[in-house]
Amino acid sequence: MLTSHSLLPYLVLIPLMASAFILVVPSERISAIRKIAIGATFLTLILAFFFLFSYQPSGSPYQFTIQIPWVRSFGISYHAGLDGIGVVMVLLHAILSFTGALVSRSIKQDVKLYFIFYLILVASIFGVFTSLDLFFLYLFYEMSVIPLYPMIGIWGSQNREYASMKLTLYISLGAVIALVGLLALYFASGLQTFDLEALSQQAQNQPFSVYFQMWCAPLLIFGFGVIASLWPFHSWSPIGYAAAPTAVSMLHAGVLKKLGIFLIIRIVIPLLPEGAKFWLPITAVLCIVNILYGAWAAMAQKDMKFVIGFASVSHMGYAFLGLACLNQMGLTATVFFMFAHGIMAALCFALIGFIYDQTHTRMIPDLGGLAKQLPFITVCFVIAAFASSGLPGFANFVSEILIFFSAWEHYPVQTILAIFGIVITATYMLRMIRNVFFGPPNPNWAYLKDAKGLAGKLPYGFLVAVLLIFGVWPSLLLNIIRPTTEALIESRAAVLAQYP
Amino acid sequence: MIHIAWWILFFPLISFAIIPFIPEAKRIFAGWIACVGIFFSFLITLRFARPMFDAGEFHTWYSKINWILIPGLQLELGFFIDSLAILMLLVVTGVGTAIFYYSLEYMEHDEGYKRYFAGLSLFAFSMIGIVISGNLLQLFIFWELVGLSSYLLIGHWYQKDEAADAGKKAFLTNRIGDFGFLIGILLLWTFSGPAGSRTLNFLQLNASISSFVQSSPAHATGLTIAMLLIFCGVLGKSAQFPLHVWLPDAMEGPTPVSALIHAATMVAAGVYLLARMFSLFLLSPVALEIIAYIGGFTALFAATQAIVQKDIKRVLAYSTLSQLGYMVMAIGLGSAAVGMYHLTTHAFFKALLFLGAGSIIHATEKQNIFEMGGVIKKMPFTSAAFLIGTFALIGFWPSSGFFSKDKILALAFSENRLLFISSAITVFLTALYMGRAISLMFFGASKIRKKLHEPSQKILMPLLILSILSLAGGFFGFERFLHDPNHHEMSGPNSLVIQLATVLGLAGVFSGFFFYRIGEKNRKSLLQPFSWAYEILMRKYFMDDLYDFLIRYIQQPFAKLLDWFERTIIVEGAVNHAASFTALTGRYFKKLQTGRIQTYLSVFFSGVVIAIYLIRFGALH
Repeated sequence: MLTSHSLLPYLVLIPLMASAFILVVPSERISAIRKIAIGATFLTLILAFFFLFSYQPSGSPYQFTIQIPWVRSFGISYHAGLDGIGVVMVLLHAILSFTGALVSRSIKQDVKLYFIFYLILVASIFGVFTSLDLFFLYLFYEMSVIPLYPMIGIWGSQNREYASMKLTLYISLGAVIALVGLLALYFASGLQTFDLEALSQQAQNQPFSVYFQMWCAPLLIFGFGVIASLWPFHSWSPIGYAAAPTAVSMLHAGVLKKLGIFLIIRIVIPLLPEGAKFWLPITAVLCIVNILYGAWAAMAQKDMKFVIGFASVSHMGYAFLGLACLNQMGLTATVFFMFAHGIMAALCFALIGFIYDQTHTRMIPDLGGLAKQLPFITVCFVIAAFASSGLPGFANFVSEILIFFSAWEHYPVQTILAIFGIVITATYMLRMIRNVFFGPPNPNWAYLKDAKGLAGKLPYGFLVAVLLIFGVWPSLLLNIIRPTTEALIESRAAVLAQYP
Repeated sequence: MIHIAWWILFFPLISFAIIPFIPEAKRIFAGWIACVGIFFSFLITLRFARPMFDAGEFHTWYSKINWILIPGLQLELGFFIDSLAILMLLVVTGVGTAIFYYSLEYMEHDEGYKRYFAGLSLFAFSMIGIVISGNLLQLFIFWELVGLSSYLLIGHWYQKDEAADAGKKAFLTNRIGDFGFLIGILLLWTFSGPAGSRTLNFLQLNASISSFVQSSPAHATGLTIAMLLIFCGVLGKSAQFPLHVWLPDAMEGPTPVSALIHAATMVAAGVYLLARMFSLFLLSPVALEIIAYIGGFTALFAATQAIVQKDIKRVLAYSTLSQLGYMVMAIGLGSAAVGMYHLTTHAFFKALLFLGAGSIIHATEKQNIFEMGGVIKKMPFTSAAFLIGTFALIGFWPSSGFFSKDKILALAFSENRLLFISSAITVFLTALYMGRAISLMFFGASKIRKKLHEPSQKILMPLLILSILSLAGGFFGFERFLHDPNHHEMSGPNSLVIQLATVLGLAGVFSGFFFYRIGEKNRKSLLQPFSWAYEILMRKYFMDDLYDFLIRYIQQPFAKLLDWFERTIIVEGAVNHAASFTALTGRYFKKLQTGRIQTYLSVFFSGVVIAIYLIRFGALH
């Protein structure tokens, strides 16, 4: 089945081609390079919206598919397609790639190299979200790690060598553990294929043995869990974000971190339902440590990026909690949460980056009273803080409340603790706002300039608008996610029914 | 008719959306757009209220749209307008219009003029949302939004440390209450039926919960827990003990904000919630009793602190706490109608008191009552309005406060004697602190050097309207809205209670008034033996110190401990040591790679021998 009319590969190809094109542009033509990068990510954004609006919730599970055989003997083919979850994740990534390219204005050193790496990073993440072949999926995943290392190492801030090394090693470690699991799947199926659709078909007809699932599932769950900063494998995350340049922090906290959970949903739940049933309740305990530990640790931080870094560790706990419910509401809520949190976390990092570019400090005690000079940035930050602490009106509230409703049935104690987590979240976020933006104006910061004009305000305003639109009208995304999670849960039930 | 109900909600939202786009040069329009928005909401509300004023007919309007549909959960947005909602809407939009109009002059020269009116409009939108919500989760959504607008408006003068702190404190204190509230919602949701047919809709909740309670005796305890958790939300929003600490600090906001949000409407949202869910609370007598005691205690507790306050706004803030305690107590004693009635009259006279105080603060630029004096001669109209408000707050006949407070006292008299005694003491204390305030503010020698004059009509008109409502509100038939079959009938006047309350009120007001006329020296010597009590009251019964202690010495060290754990155990201990372990093993293993083929071969062959041995003897099977 060779379908050649799919637009899906262009999500990967456009950034890659732009990256190759920048290679031949002279490095002094900085503004041309920027325009190419922004233009390419804008095109992928348009494509992402196209997929969002042309996805048929009632149609087949994977749409816009394309399959090109590659290494037949190993059963490897380039097979791409999007289900409802993929559409949402692609949209998230496209939004953040575009805004990330916009805020990369502040990069002054080696601009050409920076954008080459940036576009490779963007392309490879699109590759992960669209691949339906485990080989390509893993290939794209590893490909995304390659640009990360130099990007943090060269354009990062404090402690960047240590942080980039740590982040890369950690993520590779997680990836290697998961690779063992993936290879085990390949061999255990006996199908000689890496194709996800074929594998899940097989899992329904002839499920993997319970014994196999029991040891294979944790490899994948914890391997991917490292990427999603599951406690206690989270320590790369705050340090890595603090050192990374703004756009990398945005993409990493916003999208890359979600890959872990995305892959657990895509691979573990349909293929290894028994394993998931056994192991996910354990993550439902760890995730509460994520939530509370991350939140309290965030409260003790003085560096703004560390606050947001620990906050994102804390927030990923909610995604794991929703995941562990293993029902349709929980999965739908988790996907929506990943979208909402991705936008919010990226907004926070973008705003901190804006302040840091001018003040060259992110230490909360050094700042204070910035609201006078930076009214627009302050408003955006207040919005991000309230979105982060689950205020209604923003997408984050909807996703969190859905997670609470679905987890309440299965894990009442965890739910109560998770709700307490949003009290702590509000505490450290409002405290940071109070100490950075409010209070008497500080004469040291009298020279600061607010974001000016449409171009200056666009990245922040756009992210705020996305949070608001999907917060008021969540069904726009939920209706797309729902059929996919329904199919997942149904196929999972079908597999489980085959066991005595 | 049903479609225009949405516009009650949307007009303030439209104002909120327009205001940021008004250029700074034409900012005066921002104020007017906000005023027009809430005034239109008021007009539509009047349209809904007319049948009741005219003929005492009861109608309900109900409409909904589906917001989120996921198998197992169905969330709707909708409105449910009954007589209770209409009364509350009249208060919110009516008093709101007066205060918006008042703000036009009060905030005229403020730097954040646009931001202020945007915040007010956002508040009006969220507050109306609470009132017309058709289900509990929607109510919770607007409940949180109200918290946001309160945060923004308290921190309006964000450059002042006190204001920035107060906004944060208000939001976080409310968050603690809402933590319980949300768990309560989840519990009620589970109680409302089997999975798949659960609801949070007010129309269905009552029937499903009553059948739940009847199905097993153990369920009654479950419901009590759920209702008390919901009451946690009320503790925060309506500032009941022990979550009352944010309200006095909230006075850092502009005075019209204090009048509208932190006296007349938002803080009353908790009382409204109790009335809205009253039929559920009735199913749990234990919860109601606890609520009554908390309300009664807050009323007395707050009134004692009002006696020593020097800032006029703080006197009024403690008075608000105390009156809210009355309302909560009335509902706890079994009559939502009485509680709501007092909410209505309180909205009139407390808004009047705050606006009057604001007018004086605006003119004198002082808030300390000991630095005022003699204002009555220079600002007679404002002073008269303030005195009318005082009159109603103490509850003298024929003011509106008389009617509602009398009903509360009569209710306590017949239901719970202990709470009646504490309420009666509160009446005396209320009169005492108000007598003290008016004595210091209006009479005696003036300590103000500035030349004072009355404000313009933009401030005086709202004062006039609210004065009329405070003075004669008892005769306008607001209690008609509360003759709902779901609520208890209000009891008639009780002459014994009336006489006692009037005597206590007069005694309080005279002692308060004349105590501050006897001269500083005499007063000091009289107060000398009570200096310890004064100290306790000034320190707010050490409540703030207690919370400070918990934050500073429990929560913060705990956060620091986790941070330390992260840095030294997880990062240094586990992760970096794992890394050095890898490096170390690498150093040893690299010795294996000698580069000599002989070594490799001998290792390889010994491996083969071991493998054959293992396979041969079945160790691998």
